[in-house]
Amino acid sequence: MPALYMRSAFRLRLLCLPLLALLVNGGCQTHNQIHTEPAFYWWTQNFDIQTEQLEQLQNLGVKTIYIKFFDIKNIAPKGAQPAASIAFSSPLPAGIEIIPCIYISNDVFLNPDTLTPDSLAQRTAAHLLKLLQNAGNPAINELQTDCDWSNATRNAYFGFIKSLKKQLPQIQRFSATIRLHQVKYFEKTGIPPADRGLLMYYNMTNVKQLQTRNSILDNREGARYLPRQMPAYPLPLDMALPMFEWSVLFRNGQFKGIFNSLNRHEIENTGFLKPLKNNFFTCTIDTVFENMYLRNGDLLRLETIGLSDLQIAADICNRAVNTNTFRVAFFHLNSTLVKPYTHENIQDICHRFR
Amino acid sequence: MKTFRTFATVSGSIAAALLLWFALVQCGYFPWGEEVRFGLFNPDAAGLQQHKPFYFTTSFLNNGADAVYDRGIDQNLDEWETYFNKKCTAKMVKNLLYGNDFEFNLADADLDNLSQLKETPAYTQPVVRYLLDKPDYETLAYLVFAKQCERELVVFTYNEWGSQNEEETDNLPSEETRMALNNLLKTAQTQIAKAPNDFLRLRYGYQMVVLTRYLNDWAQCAKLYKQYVENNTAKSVLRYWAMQHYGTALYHLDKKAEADYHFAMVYANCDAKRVRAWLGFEGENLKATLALAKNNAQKADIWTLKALHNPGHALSDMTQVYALNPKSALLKLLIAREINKLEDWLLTPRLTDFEPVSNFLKEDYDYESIQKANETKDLEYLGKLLAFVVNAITEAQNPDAAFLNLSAAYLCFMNNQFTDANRYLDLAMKAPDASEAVKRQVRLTRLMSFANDKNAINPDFENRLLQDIRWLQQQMPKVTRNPDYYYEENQSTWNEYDRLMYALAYRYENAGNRMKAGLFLSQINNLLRALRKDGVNGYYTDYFFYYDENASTADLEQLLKLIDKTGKTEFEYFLTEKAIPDRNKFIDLLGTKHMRADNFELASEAFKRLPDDYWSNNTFGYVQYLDANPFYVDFYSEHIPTIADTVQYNKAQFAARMLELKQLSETQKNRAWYYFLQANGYYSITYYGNSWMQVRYGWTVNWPYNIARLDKYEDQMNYFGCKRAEELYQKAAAVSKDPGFTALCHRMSGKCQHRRKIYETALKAVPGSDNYYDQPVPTFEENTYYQLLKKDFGQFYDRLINDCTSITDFLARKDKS
Repeated sequence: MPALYMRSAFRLRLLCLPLLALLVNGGCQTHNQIHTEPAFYWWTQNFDIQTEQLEQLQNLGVKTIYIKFFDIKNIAPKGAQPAASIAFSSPLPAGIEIIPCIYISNDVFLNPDTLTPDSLAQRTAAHLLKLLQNAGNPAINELQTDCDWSNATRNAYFGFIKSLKKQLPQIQRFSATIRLHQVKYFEKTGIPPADRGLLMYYNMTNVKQLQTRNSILDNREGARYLPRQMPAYPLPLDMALPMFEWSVLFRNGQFKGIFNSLNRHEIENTGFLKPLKNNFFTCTIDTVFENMYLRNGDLLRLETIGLSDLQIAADICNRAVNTNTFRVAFFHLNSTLVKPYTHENIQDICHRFR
Repeated sequence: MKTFRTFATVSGSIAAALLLWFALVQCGYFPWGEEVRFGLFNPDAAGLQQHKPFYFTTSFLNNGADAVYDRGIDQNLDEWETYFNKKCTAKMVKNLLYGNDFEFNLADADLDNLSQLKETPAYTQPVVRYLLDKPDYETLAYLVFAKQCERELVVFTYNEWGSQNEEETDNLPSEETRMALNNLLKTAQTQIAKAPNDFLRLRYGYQMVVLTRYLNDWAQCAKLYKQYVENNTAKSVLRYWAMQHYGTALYHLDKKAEADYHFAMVYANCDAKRVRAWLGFEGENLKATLALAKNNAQKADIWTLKALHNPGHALSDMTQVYALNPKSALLKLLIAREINKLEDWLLTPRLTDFEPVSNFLKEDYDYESIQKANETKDLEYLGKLLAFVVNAITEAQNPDAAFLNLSAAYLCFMNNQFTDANRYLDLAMKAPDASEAVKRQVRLTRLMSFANDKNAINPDFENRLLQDIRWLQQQMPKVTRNPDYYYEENQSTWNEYDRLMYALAYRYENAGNRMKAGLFLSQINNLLRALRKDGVNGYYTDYFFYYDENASTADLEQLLKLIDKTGKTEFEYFLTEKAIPDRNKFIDLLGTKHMRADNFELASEAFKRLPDDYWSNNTFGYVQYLDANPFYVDFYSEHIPTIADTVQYNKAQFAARMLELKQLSETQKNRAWYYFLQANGYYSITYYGNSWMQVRYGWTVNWPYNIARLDKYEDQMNYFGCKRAEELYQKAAAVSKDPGFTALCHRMSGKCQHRRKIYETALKAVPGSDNYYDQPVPTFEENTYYQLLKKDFGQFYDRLINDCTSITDFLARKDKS
């Protein structure tokens, strides 16, 4: 009964918290010479970090931000093109390491008309340097690429990473995001030629299916991908955990879309979304809401993450730990969603990796 | 573990489809949006392709926006060509203004010394050469200035390799950029005074509006627009380009109604800025906005933009448009949108049949009554929309009678009023100026109306159907199936032809003819979009699987008879042309279905119809996945290779051997041994066995519970529950004379019972419930066979339960059995 086991482990750890707090101060040092460091993602197109967010970062002991600089998408008929390039409305915060991220849609590497990995890497590097210039040329030690590669795109994507390394010799480390199935089946999916991997422990089940309970985080599903005594992934792994919420709309069983950051309070305040079991609501009228046409009978699945979910997530992700020093990154920096978490909460999550 | 057996796999295109299916499940794929929105009414029939981004689709605004933008750019280029009296073509101007592959950047030219350009590579540009030679330095100065503005203005976003695109943003430019923009503004003030004509003055005015807009100097932007654009009498598309920025300035100056008014005017008159205008329009103070309109036509344009923001019922907005400007061309766009909405609301759920609600919600949620109430409301709305269109036809004020009659016909068709539908279709065809798009839609609608109107499907109907299908085939661009078809961006292949084939498949299935329904599905270029709840995942990736899940053996015999028929009618030939090459696969399926039904006699007969080399040509990956000995089963190996895998059995050989064993177990001595071998055979063709592919075309390590619940195969209890194997092991135990061998039979029965209980629990489990993935596993103590072993076969118990190598010794007792 894994779920029960995890629940009792959680209880035990709560009891140990005061002791841990005495042992650890400030940093995220944990037992057995494991050192973890909290980090956050910035995934929106405009970097306009607010004072409140800077304070949160400071309070939570965060010294690293992963910032998505741009996407590369397959845009017909042009092929691979940059999209959603970041704009900097506020300066990068001092004293915080920046790790630029580039999201590459998988079909970029499927499109036979697109660029070769070498020329794509060349353009990507040039584009990144231009955006870094806009950001005031911060020192960059690590660059992250994010692509949910498939068998058909693996070679092209891996070739792209290799070329990108050659294009950007000044960057010491290259990391690549790794999905759960890519960890579990790494012999089949391949290992990207990066220096590190970052295990994305979220978006693990199919958001578009009605039967899904919580597509952002489902620890039972996660545990199936990360069993105990799992083989070590060949690249040292950083970990990424979710810190976001959304509501998913279904009509006649079909996925219709996602309302970002629509929380329980806002749903209940509409007056026309009636709670059903668990995290489901149903619409009782036909109406336009947030530019979407909702119909009587539409179902809304609210997907949220709580502290206890993250604690269990950390326990499960711990099975994939394969290095002594790594980051625990939270996706993403949204001041409202981050607000409920204290320094101790974040420390606790980090401490669970041991 | 022999891991490669744990993946669903078959060869060829089906292999690709199934492997893909597996991968997609992993990667979070599920059809949605345009892939599942059903509709046969093509909004192009409205003849307003320049409004394509505003069609009713799930990818609203992302549909053809680039083409519409380019069309707007062309309007400006045409003005330049006229300005140059065609001495310089639009293409030449485009190359100069929008190209970026020159050796010399025109923005680097010195406005006070333009003649120096003769010494630069810019002189090779036809437009520059023309202006220098003429000479016309004033026009050249504007072009240089425009390029200088472009260089500074596009600093905000970078969404093309090596270049920077202007994009609406409220980000403040850097101090350096601010200085550059202010300097350009001063230059514009100087240059506009020197400009010799309204054509150039308007363009300088436009540049000034843009410069101030990106300086976020909204008041100055509005002032300059009034001064240099509104007061300029030149007729140009640039007036609307500037108006778009003026609208943004008004919005920031908190003049929302005025902003909306100008956005509505931009939408109605300017292709390039249409998407921006739509995005800018808020429509919150409509009364004040309407009060700014100079005439009824402008009021109608404001109502149009409001209607285009309405994802629900927009008929009341349309009624206003019609009352104010019955001739409005955009009324057709709005009608097409409403028809497409109704198709989505009424037809998508009916034809795609998704499982509408989670099982665990069913108690609190009465889908049937909700759906019925919604359908009643939708049909009421359809009636109102139809009345509106019929009224417009009757009043004959809107010039496009063909489109209006077509719309009325389609609405009648959707409402099962086939006679009325045909009457309006006739009127649409007879209407003057009926476009080709309208005529095509008329024919398509007539075909569907006809197909649905007939009580019986007969050869006359099919002949007529074929004529229309052939005609439609010629109209459709050739589409080759993209191997990456599961990516949502590739939605264009889901075309009218595919939709029609899908609708006809549905029609035939409703008429009880699954054999032909599947053949219609075979015609679809991109079957992934063909969705039915019957599929394991809610959709099929290949028409073969439609038959695999739905066809009876009688359906398959009928299909094979049609495939083999000599002297097919033209319609039959059309239907079977894709299936003919798959003939052997259907014989294979026929035999497989007989095996699922535990009828090895008929299975053997079916397999005899296959050529000898069928099994070795790896049609379904048999070479890899039927490479084990199905008559050897030990305690734990299952998919792991064993010492007995020195022989393999294809389906024909397996069926024949099962028949032989059956006969031997009934007539020979050593009956227990033959029953035991049969039981091994049955176990091997379960989900857990080494020869699962004898009865299935795919296997997945994931979701066994969902598949157990959703699959429609008749042998589910045998496949997941090992029931038949358990029965045969018990038969063997019953006739065995050797206690050790009897004990072995109980041991194997215990293994089957364990699997059966897991399956029975899975069948009762409620998806979505908290314990769905934590279903209790049957305990050792619950297993009646293991308890029997403990009680009655104590001397063998420990070895049978705790020593996996002991099976060899127990099997050696077969001769005494």
